[in-house]
Amino acid sequence: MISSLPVLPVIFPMITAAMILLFSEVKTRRLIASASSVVQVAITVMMMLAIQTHQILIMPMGGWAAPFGIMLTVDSLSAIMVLLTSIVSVAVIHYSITEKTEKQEHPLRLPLIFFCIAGITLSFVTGDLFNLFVAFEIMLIASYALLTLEIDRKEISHAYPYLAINIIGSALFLCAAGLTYSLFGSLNFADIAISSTLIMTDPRIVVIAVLFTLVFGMKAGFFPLYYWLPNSYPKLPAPVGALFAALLTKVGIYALLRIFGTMLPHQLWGVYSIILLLAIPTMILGAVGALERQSIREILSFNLISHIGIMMVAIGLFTQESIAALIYYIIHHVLVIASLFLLAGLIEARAGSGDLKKLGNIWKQSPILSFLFLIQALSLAGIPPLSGFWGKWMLISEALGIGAGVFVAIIVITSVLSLWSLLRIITTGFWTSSATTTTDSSNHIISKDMVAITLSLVLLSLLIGLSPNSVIKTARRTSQSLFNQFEYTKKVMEYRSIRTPHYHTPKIIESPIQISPEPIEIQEIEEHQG
Amino acid sequence: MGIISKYALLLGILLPTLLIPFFFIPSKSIKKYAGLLAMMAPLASLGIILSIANKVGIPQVNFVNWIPELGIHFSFLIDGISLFFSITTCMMGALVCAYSHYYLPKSSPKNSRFYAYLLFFITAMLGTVLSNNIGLLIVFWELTAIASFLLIGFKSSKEGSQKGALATLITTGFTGLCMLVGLILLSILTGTSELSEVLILAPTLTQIQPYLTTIMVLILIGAFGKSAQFPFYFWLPKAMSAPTPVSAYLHSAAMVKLGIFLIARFYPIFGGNSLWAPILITIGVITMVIGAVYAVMTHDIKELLAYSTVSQLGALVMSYGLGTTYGVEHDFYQILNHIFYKGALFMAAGVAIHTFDTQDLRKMGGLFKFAPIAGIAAVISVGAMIGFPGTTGFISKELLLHTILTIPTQKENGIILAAMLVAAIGLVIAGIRFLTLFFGNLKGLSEEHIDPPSMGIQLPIIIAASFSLIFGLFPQDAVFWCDYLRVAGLHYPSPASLSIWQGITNPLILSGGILTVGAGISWVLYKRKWVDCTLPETAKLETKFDHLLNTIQKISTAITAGVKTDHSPDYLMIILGFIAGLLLLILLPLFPELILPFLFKMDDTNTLGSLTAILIGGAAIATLIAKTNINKLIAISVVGALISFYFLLYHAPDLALTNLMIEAIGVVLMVLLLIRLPKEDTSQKVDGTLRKTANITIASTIGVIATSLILLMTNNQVLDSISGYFIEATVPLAGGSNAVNTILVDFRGFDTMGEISVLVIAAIGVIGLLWKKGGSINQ
Amino acid sequence: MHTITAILVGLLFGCAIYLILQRSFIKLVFGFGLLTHAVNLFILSMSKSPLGKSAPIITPGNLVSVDPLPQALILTAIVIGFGVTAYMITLVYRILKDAHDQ
Repeated sequence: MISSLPVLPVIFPMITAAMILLFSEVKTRRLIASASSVVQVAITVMMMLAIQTHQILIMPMGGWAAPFGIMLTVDSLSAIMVLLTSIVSVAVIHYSITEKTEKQEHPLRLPLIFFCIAGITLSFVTGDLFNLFVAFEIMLIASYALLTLEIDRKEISHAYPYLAINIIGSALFLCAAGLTYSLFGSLNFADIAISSTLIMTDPRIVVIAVLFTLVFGMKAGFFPLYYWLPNSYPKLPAPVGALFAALLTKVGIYALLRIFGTMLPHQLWGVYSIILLLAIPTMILGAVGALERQSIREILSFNLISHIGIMMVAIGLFTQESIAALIYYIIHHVLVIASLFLLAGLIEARAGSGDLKKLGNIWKQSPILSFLFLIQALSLAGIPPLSGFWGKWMLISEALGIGAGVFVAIIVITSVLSLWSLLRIITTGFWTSSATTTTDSSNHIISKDMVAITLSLVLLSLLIGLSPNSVIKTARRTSQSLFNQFEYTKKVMEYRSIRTPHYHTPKIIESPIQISPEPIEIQEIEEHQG
Repeated sequence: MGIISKYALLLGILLPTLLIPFFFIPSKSIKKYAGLLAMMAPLASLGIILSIANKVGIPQVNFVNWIPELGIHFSFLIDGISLFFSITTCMMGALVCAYSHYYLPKSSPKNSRFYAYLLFFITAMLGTVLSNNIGLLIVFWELTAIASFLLIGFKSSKEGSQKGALATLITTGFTGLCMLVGLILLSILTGTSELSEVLILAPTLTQIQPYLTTIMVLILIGAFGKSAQFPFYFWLPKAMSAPTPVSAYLHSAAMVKLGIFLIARFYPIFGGNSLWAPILITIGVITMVIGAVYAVMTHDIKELLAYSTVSQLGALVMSYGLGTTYGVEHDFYQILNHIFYKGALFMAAGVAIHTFDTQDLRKMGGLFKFAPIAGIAAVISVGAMIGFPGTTGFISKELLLHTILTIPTQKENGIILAAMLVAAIGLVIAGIRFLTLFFGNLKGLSEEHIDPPSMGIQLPIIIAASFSLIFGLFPQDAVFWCDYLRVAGLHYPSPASLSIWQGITNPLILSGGILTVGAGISWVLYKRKWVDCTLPETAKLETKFDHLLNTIQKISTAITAGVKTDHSPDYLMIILGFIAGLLLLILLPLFPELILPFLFKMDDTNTLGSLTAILIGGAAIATLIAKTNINKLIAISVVGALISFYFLLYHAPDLALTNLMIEAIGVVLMVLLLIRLPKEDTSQKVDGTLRKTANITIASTIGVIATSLILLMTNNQVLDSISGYFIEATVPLAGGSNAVNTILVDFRGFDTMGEISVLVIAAIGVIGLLWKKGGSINQ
Repeated sequence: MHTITAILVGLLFGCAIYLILQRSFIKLVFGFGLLTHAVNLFILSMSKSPLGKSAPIITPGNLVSVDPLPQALILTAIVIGFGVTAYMITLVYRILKDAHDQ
């Protein structure tokens, strides 16, 4: 069972999607969806538990071991991301189910969401570069489809930037993957890690690193590649928006961590500096943009960008503690952003619009919703003792410790601007009583279930905020294992399957590829400094 | 007893917050007695704290684990400072709860929320002053800001409340973050997060002096923000839109004192720093003067009190600056003075506001007849404010004047003295003006319409005021208790004694002068009906803050205007340009030999290949040049077909076949698209020359980069590749002789599964796009 | 031939990017079509020159084979690209139709 655990969270959603497509009865579809998402959580929890004892779960697809076949490798980081995905998914799917009546639900939405989840999960568990590309494509095409599925007629041209930019990103990914293969002779993370130690001083590694920074930066929302984000996220239906905002950008960050942490040597200081430099405009423009917008979800989207900038600082500093801060921040951010988008959806449904001027007296009308929103907004802004604060604390402490005071100053300014933009929602939006009466058209009925689902997400992040010790410990341990490239590569490369009983060592080339080379001999994996 | 007391302190601090749910129980009696019930909470907390406190003098630390990973724990320090602030917080809190009971509309459903916020604030306040752990301090510090935000915004629909709450949280948030950075630096440099340990280390900290100054400045920024010092004072007048009990408590007695608390707490550490005194004195003096001047120049009663608070806080800051390396003396006495008289004044003002339903001083007067108790209390408290003998204010002013007059002579002494005099006179004027609320003719309402304030609401006021009187008449008793709370490093070992009469001293003469001049000016102004008391809006820092906010918003609009375009090519231009630029930036320094020589590396040529390549290139360029869509389509199909042939030249038969098939289907789809479209491509826009040049530059750069990358990576190959294995293993292990096929379906079959999924999803996406609402589902 | 391919790829990229930067949806579609070809050829060039080698069908007695892995990758990329292209074409259709219908 454990040995096939890595692939389960990938194919399970896919099978679910297929099954949902088969049935036309809405009740059945919803039942399948609901049950599946809960089972998915169980699977990912099992995976987390398995990681405690096994450190890495390895599964060679098709029986072919690394580096020839595609290996699924689940280490602590992957397990955390997959768990987060399943938690967000279960909330999003149940929200989606309770959001619309059976007649109104678009029959294609649920299958597409499950396909998207499959793609996201595959990105997190794969140990192969080209497989990562395929995973990205699954995720992307599902997201394209979801974006245009229920979009307004007038807004549909906004889908195009998202599509165009991501296609360029995919093209770039393909080129980068090809170049990586050419340089390292392999597509497997562990194998490349070993190979890179043989050619560590080759400056071409920098080129590849920069290419991947661009590719994943486009996905994550780095400056100036983030233009697609604020124009597309606010237009989505609430649960889909929550899914995208919480997870899709994090896939980019995760991929960057994987490439820099697991695949490439840990000394690409030039590239890290580029990320640090780009972090500055990302943070500031994100916060500044949030100040200017007038609709809840647009403000949230820009805040998302701003916080990606903060995560970029964590990556750019590239110390074990800053990556630990990053991992904690990701955990906090996924939950908080998901709940905020869902809350925004609820509020928009109650008020009839997300425009700040038209919100009416939400504070009085729906005190619970407003209060939850306030809590999560404060958490996002980094107010103690909510979850966001500890991440900032870790990052600021580390940055101060290594003398990166400038970035601390910018983080401070960004935090204040971010706080301001979020508070504006409360003061200008929630507290003002608008002249017009609200909700004449209440075809958006807020059911207690939707509030309950969102409440559970909020409670989860509150729990993390009030008692962050175990999460911080996990984050630190995960960062440590990430930096321990040797352990990872050793475990992956030494995993033997029936079909591939021989070891493979990367060799410096002596002669061109021949049809019948010498039989590959069993050799010991080289010792090297991590 | 140890374990109980370990958690007891935490419980005592959290007690007010834990009681919050009780206020939401829908019971009539709870709603009726809400305020009085709330009053119990701070008193209970105080009881717990006092019962735990041992003989003061030896600080106690109380420790409960919280976040070992970050070194942040529930660690509390019970010493003189924390006890002093706890006592004043709790007592004033109890008084305000009782006051609120009578102030707020009876049995209003919103009241529960009010007491909830208030109790939450009390917890946060207690946590801050008792905190021994740096992280914990910050946590509670920010929580006080949150509580303040909620309380200011309590009357949420008022625009003033919104702005006030926003301004408060942004300002204290920013300054709080500066303090955070300073404190983290401190804990990194000292190696501990516990304040008690840092305080012990204080004498040895001179080694890290340069950093210490930075830390000090950062922490002081935090203090100044919270205590409304220049230039952060503007939030306090804005916060006056809060309900009056909130103003009486948070914004005069409790939260604004946190900055003072911080200064006192860190005095032993920073007292010796060369910049400590200058900063404190300068900021304190400026604040003191500005506050007093603005207090005179307003007609709003709460604004008057707010600015006088600012001034008084400035005086406190200044007096800490005037302390020596041994410490200060009687600072607690001065803080005590301000807490009680200001709280009383605010509460009295609240009574007036309640009765007359306005905050404008010109429209109120003559309240004494209807609220005599409050009137007496107001007289006493105003006496304290202006420094009238018999009140704590008098002693306090005398102390301050004495300190100023006895500092070793420098040229600034005169300025400080002058500032003190100006401020004091201003406060006299403001105080006398306050009294017009109670005395003089009845204004605003006629006798019949006045709803006399109840006895209950006046009781807390007189209680507070009585402290000013009692400790003013018998200051030595106050000194005894304050000395009991003495803290090493902050206070003189044996403070000078205080009494009302110390002989005809310079301070006494000055006090007399201040009172006389102040009274005189007040008389003049009174005769002129206080007309001169207005300050142009532009001079106020608040308006400057508003301007700042507006400017920032305008800048953000300007910056983000670019993002709002609907033209994706604009984004694309930026993004592609950025990619091109960045890659160029990386490639050029690293591989300068790339630029030219590759052209000459044509060692292997194939005529057919070259010919095909030229044709493909030509067709590609034709795609650019072709005018009509159909021609473009033809050109691109030619490209596709020729590339398939090129694949053949590369010995890739499967590739060629697949490419051809996909190309065909693609063309069919494009034809379908082109047929169904209107003839005119309405999205077509004409490009200017600048744009064209930019496009050409970007496109060609990327093209060159692509070529360079290929040559760069493929030439000079160092490592072996895994494809050798595939070639070797395809027949024996995978059972097929076509290596590409076996890779696709066996070795890397998982990828193929992924690609098929993509096709399925794409199909779903297409269906979704073509979906017509209400149409039939085509499964 | 390797160098020729490299230059050709560069040219294709240039044309593709230029089309993408045009402010017309149809031209965007053409641009992406060219981009697909450019990327495919790019990956193929990673297998270096095919001269003197045989197709990746392994029978005893063959010459040295070309590198089969890039070809497999390209096949996957072609299929994925086709899915995206089909979707994109439908999207453009929908956008222009909606604009026209209004």
